[in-house]
Amino acid sequence: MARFRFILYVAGSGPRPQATQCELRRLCAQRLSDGEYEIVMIDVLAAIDQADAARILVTPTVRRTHPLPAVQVIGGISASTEFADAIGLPPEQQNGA
Amino acid sequence: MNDPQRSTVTERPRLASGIPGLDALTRGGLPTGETTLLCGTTGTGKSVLSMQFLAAGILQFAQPAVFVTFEQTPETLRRFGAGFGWDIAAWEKRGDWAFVDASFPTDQEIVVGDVFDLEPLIARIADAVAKTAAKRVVLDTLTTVHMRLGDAVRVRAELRRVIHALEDLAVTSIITAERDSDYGAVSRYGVEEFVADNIIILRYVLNQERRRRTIETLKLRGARHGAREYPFAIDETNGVGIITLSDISLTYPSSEVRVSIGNPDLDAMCGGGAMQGSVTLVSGTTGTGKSLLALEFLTAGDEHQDAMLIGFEESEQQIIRNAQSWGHDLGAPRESGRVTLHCRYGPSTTLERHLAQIISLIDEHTPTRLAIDGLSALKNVSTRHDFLDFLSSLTALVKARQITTLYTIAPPLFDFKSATEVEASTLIDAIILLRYIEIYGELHRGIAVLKMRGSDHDKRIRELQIGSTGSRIGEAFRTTTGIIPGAPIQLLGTESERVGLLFTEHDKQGGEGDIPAPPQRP
Repeated sequence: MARFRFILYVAGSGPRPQATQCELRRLCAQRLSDGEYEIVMIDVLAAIDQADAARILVTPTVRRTHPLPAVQVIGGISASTEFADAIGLPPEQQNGA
Repeated sequence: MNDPQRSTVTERPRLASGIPGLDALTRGGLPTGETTLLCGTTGTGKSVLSMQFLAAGILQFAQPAVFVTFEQTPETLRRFGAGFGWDIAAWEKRGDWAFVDASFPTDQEIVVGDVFDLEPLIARIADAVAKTAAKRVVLDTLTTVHMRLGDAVRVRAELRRVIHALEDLAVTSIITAERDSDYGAVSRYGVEEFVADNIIILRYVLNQERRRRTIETLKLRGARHGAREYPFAIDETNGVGIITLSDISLTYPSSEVRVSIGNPDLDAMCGGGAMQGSVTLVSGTTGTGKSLLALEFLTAGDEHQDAMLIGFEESEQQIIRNAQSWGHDLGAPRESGRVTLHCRYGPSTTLERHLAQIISLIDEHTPTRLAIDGLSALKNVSTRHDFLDFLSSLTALVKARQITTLYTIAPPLFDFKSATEVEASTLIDAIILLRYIEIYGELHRGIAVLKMRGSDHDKRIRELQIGSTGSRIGEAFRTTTGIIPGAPIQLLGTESERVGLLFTEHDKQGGEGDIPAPPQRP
């Protein structure tokens, strides 16, 4: 099981949600090693029940379900550093290994 | 009236809200298919009113509802609704009610920047509206969204989209927003900027140490509305009741049928009795016989009609005991339900609540005769303005329902032209004064009909006698003047002259049994 698990809520399947997902993957790749994280993307327009259940109000929303405590971050994936800190990624290191 | 301005006002279609009083206040209800902003400081009743808007839709018009909650959880709101008798869970099961739970997440939430949209919220509302076929939607409260997401330009733009989406869904909606003060900016974060057309403001104002709820329609598109605050009350069993005053109420059916006030002599003084559905005010200082007149009024109706007494000064036991001492047994009529007694403690609650409770009692018992004894107990715990509002609301109500009504009130002991009587007199049909009159060191009770709408009445001040068979009306005080100003003066000096002139020949007719017949004038 991956140490970091994220659910990314987006609206629709256009270029913007895709870009958002890419950005999140890029951040994770930068700061975590492969296999250390897992990202599930949910399109709220296609899965309203899931948006209801998770009380999602805003897109993009990233929920980090692991490690605990869970945290939910709204907006600004493009503001990379602040966002990466918010979802609790470790600081960027020379972890090319 | 031929007012050119009037005909150019386009009346927009209205959705009857079903909230007692609100539709009269808004002249028909909320603009159909539009959003109305409901603003108020904390605790003004925004949530109750908006929830009642939905509940009334379901109960009275079979219109399904969606409640979008940003603050309270659905569970809390179900419980809140249950307190007013609304079984929201059952409505949810039937598919008539849906919550969109947009309350705070249980986990920590961090907002980064402002590049985001409310697409999920819009989609969830649309989904809930489609599933229930909702006609009414409430968003409670928009202020929470700002507190959560900030009030950047982006957030405001997104909220504007939400409201457009509601209009596209063709639902009639209420959006609530917090205010910081009762008489300051319309709402915190200026939400009214994008829900500008229809704004209702609720207040819960501290006035002379008592809180009072009011409602004001600040603006309502395409409508004329009452430009003032109206009182309202929140009642645990009935929710919100808005008290619309006589100036926005209907015209009352007026009757020419006379009914007894409770004493045949008094009926005669009033030109044959009270008009059916009219309101009589009995004003008298303590001990002058107000409660007796109220009781006699209560029991004077015919036996197929229900009578109700609401007392603010005495307990039920006291009223029953007093009745016995005046020869009235209330046992049987109370048992059969023909007469009901309801005693209230004046200072126990606000005037609005008292009024709401009186309205519930009237709804429950549908009396044709109503006596309200001891209004002064309410007058003394409120401001003059509030009391007059209360009195005119109550009077408008009983008149609209054609209930023959009698109020009793005590004026300040030495203020014989009490403001209450003067100002309320446009609504009150008849005023009866009871006064102590001092004649050579002896107190007598005087009774006079000050006003009797629609007919002639006895203008004399006559003696009121109270005995074991109740009240009797005696002779006129012929030789005394200055009674109404409160400074009686005897006109004649000697005993024999005084006694001789006290009563006229005319007054002697008609069996005044226990009044000693005055000696004839030599």
